[in-house]
Amino acid sequence: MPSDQRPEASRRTLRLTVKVNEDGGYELISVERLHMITPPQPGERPEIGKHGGSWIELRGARGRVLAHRLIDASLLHSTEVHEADRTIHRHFGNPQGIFEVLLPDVDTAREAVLVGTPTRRRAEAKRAVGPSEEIARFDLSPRREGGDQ
Amino acid sequence: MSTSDGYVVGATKIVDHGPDSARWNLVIVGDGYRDTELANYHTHAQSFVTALRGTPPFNTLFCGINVYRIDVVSNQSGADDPGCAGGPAVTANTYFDATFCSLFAGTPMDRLLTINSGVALSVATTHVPQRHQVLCIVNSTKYGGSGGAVATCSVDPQANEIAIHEIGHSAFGLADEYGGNGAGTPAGEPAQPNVTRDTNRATNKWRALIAATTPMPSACDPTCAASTCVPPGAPPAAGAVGTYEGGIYSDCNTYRPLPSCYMRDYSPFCPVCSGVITQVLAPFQPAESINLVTPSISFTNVPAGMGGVGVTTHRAIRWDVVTCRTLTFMITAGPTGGFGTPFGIQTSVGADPNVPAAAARIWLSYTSTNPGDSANGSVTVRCIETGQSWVININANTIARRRTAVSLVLDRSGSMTDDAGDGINKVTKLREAARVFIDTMLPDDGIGLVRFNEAAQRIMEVMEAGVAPGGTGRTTAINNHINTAEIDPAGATSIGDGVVNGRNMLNDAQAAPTPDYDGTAMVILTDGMWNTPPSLASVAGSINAQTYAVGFGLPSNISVPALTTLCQGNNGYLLVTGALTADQSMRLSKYFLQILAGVSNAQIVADPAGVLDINAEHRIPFWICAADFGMDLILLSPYPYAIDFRLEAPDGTLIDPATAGNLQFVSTDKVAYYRCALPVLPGDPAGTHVGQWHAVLRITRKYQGGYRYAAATQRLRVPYEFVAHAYSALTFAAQLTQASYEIGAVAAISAALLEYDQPPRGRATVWAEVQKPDGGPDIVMMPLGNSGRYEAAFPMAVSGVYTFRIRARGETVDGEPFEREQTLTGVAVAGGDHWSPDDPKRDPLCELLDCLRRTGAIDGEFAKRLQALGFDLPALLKCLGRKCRKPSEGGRAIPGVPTNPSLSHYSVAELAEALSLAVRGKGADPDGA
Repeated sequence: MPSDQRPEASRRTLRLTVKVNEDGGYELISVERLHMITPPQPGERPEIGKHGGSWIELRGARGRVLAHRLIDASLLHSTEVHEADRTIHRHFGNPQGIFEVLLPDVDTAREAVLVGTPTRRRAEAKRAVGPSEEIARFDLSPRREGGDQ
Repeated sequence: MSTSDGYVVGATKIVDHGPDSARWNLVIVGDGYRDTELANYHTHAQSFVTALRGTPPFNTLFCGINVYRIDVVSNQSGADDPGCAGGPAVTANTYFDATFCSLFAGTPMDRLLTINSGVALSVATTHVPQRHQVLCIVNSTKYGGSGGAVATCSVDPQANEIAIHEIGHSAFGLADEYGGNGAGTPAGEPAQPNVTRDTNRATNKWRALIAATTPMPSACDPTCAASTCVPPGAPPAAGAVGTYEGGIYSDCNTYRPLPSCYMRDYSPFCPVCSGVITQVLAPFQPAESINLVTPSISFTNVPAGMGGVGVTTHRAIRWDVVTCRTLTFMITAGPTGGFGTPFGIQTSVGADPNVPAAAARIWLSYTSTNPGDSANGSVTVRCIETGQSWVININANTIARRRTAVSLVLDRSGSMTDDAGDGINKVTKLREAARVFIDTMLPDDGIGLVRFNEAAQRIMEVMEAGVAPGGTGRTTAINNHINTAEIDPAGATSIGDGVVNGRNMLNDAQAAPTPDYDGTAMVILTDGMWNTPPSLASVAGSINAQTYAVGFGLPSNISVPALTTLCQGNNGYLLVTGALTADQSMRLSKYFLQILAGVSNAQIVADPAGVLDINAEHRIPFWICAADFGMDLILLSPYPYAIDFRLEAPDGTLIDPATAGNLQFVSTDKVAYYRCALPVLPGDPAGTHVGQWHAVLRITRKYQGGYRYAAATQRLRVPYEFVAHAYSALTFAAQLTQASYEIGAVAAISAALLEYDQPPRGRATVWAEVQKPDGGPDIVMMPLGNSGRYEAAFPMAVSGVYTFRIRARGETVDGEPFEREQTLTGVAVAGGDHWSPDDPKRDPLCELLDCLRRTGAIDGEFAKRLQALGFDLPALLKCLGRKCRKPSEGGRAIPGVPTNPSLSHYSVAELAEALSLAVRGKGADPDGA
């Protein structure tokens, strides 16, 4: 692809590592600054209250959304099983563990906001769940940063 | 079952498309591989890489991706499998704790294969900080996998698809496109780019891909009673992007772009998903570049061919390309000037699997004409995709065939009277081999002769060989020198002086105004250690000719290291004959013919031997390819005139000495040969050039009568050696080096194979057939090494001469079979590393006896007393004669013993003779005869 067709992309990346606790809470356990290209996030920017699913927003001053990244449901509250007959099924529940998110490393970024379905409602997911809402907010001030690669 | 159950070996970048800071970096880790299974892991990792690269749209985006493989060793193989589906429970202690039947929301799921993602991410970060995606391959053949922070799959052949599907989620934010009962389906518009509730073509998120003729919605799920989907009046066109009901876990009122997609059922990614992947990976793509490496093409100094048939040479116009798509280069004008396009006028090139660059080549050809001719032209090439165009200038010229002046430097020391091993003395063998060499030389090459014993003489200055047979140079060399007493054996061995004289003769030949030789070559034959100055080491640095040597006899009697150094430093090699046996009687002549091939830049195509009897017809096959423009088909035999020697062309045409065409037939007392330009018959170019030829041999009728008598009475048969040389643009050159000459030394063998000056574009296999001193044959495969040469090593475990017949077989770029071969020798002897170029090999026993003789410690009285004591003196003397050469053949100065020149030429053998005389009286035969 000719260079003039390449989309703009940040060459500095933040890698946020988030831990999902037993109580359903989320904890930002590391922030790494990396000299690598941030993959762009195609598609229109989702809006709280309008769109369904999970994503994380990088916000600057006065809550301005600087970038976002969609988050796979497997990272938050479900798992996918690939059966031997080549059918695929997703199962919903309350997983624990960690997940990572790549966002552009923007100097004006202040916080990251996790948007999705609140933990308390996931167990009720026998029917379609409602629009997403903010479920966690992480401070990105320098004291939280866990590395600089 | 944790990190205590193994260890991390390290990381390898298996796909390197550029710096990690500018590429999308995939890290693969393995779990459940023991250290002995890492090779399997490498295969599995490569298999995934191949699968990913072959999955559109990754196939066109792959040069934006780097892949690292981290080798991790587990204590046990496989993965935990509690057997939740009814099978036996299995436990495996692995580094990342891989397990099937993983629990989710309290329920075990048989195919849910998970690992400790935190540990995997940590290991990946340690080795590849700039990673974008981590994949774990688990060493289990059970189908399974999972998504999440680390994509996981087993090594089931189809489990790669699980990993690619899960990477679609985690790296590209794609939603599942399969339906369901609605559990987990968001109520609003899904945030993911590949699923929607919006069937309005004006607002749909992938509306840019929806054709105006495609109905919206495009298809409804008829089983979904609660759906508000209104079925279209007519189905959409096959493959049309639209809105098809069912997706993101609901069969109703959610839509996907196509009926099938990787995110639904592992079908190829739909255009919407492909577009998302392409957008994500676009910033990682290297800028496309096309660099013309060859702005002009020169066919410089291409030699004229044989018999008026030109030599065809190929050169490539080359572009170095960085691209992720297929680019096609096409000739749009030309080539002018008579140049050819042997492989077509266009070529296409795509990205290399593992590095960012690829090379595009369009080949041009030039066929030489007459010496002094030149040609100029140009060709215009266009890249179809980019529209770039280049004009490449082409030039060429033809020169006369390279002419070489050769000096034969021949040992005539006293030991040349010894038996060569087959009952014939060495000097007779030497005369035969020299005659074969001279008879078979190309007419324009020069021949000169040097002889040496304790001193060297130039017995014939370099002369043009001339026509065959009967050329002045040939007949002078053979009749006036080789066949005369000039090389009768006598005296000591000063190889160094012979080399100096050979060098001077060649230098003088080149300095002479005519004829103008393009190169010089020296061929040294010796059967002994040098023992008279100058040393080989002292003269080696002054040699400026291509140098070959033949060590005639046992390696322990030859200055092997010094001659090897001398030859290998001058683009040649040493061959050691060992003791000849009756069935190898023509080995020396064959070695000379092989050296002649090197001097003449000919390639050895076939080299079989046989024995003809009265009723037999031998058909010897050999392959000739389009790169061959001439050939010499040579028959060595004690009685070549008794063999009816014909050729059968690939189309069955029989060629004999009377056939008119591009051929000449020569027959002398030891050799007969056809010298042919190709095609041999100008009127039948297709049938008498490329393909399988046969040499057809049988006893001539003229000699059958006498032969029948001989066969009936003495059971004689006619042995022969057949050698096919090709003059060719497909060249094969082998080399043997050894750092040690001790028993157990390793022979490093290598070979270069070039087709039109380039590495072969077709298949090729190279191997060595090894004849060991103990008679055992062995075969060593020679794989292609990183150096571009075919390489192998062979330990020489027993003492003696090892003969390596190094062979190549394959297909040319045109798919024609070809064969090449070359014979080299290696040597291992006890004490081999104590050889010195300046210090002939010691023989302590002989030195002691020589010293005793010189100092008078033993004399005739001693001999008499020995005999009186019952010693079988003739037998003793015979043994001494065999063991101890004359000083001229191997003796050396003894510290503390006067080096009276009058004594220095005495030998222990002479001592034996003197003792014998003392016992029996003057004139007695030391052998007791």
